[in-house]
Amino acid sequence: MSRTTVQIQFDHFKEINETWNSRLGLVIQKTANDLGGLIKTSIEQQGMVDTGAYLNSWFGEKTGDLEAIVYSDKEYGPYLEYGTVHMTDRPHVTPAAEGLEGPFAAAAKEAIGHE
Amino acid sequence: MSETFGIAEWLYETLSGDDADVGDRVWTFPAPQSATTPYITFQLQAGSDTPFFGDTPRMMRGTYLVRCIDKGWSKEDASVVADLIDGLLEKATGTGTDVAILGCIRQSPFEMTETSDGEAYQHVGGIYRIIAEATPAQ
Repeated sequence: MSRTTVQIQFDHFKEINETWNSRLGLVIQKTANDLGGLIKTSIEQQGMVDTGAYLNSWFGEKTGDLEAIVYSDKEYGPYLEYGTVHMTDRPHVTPAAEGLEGPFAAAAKEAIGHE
Repeated sequence: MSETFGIAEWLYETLSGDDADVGDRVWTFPAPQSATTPYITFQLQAGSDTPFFGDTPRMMRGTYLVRCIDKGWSKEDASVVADLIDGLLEKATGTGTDVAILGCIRQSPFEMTETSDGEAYQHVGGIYRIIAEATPAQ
């Protein structure tokens, strides 16, 4: 008795992975840039610019293929964001980050072809 | 009435349910300078709306910082209160004026040490996401 075997082989995962990683990497980098820009805009809009030291302390950095961080090197940043016993809060990071959740998800979906 | 008012009302009432000596010391941030530590504060950090057409009520998503603030260099007492806060809020639901709180979950723990003129204040709590639905009075 003869037997017919059909083997379906799909071995393009490596290429797909590389393409997706590359596209998603760009989305992440753009989102990090946008986040930095939004934070700085909020700092200016809330009148938190005196010497400009805090405004200019914000940096974006790519830390991996699919990872980036946006940060300030000023230790008093959390005091401004969350407030202290002696100073009211002026949220400028959380609203910026949450405002980018939707655009980031949409851009990520588009990058992998799932619009 | 604004949803944020109703949510603040619900947070105040829920957090005041803590009977571990701090329940009568709940403030919307910032607390008065005369407030006795430790105390609990809450504040809106960010929010967004999901509007719907027709009769479907608007949904609001708010990110709230809820924390215990205590004076001193030790985080121990503030951490105990932070656990109480979490017990009261995590997965809690309820109502406030013109608003139904559909869900409340902690997004991340929160810790901050504030130093000022040689004194320290410990801030321990969590960042909570609250989903609420507007329920305007008929």
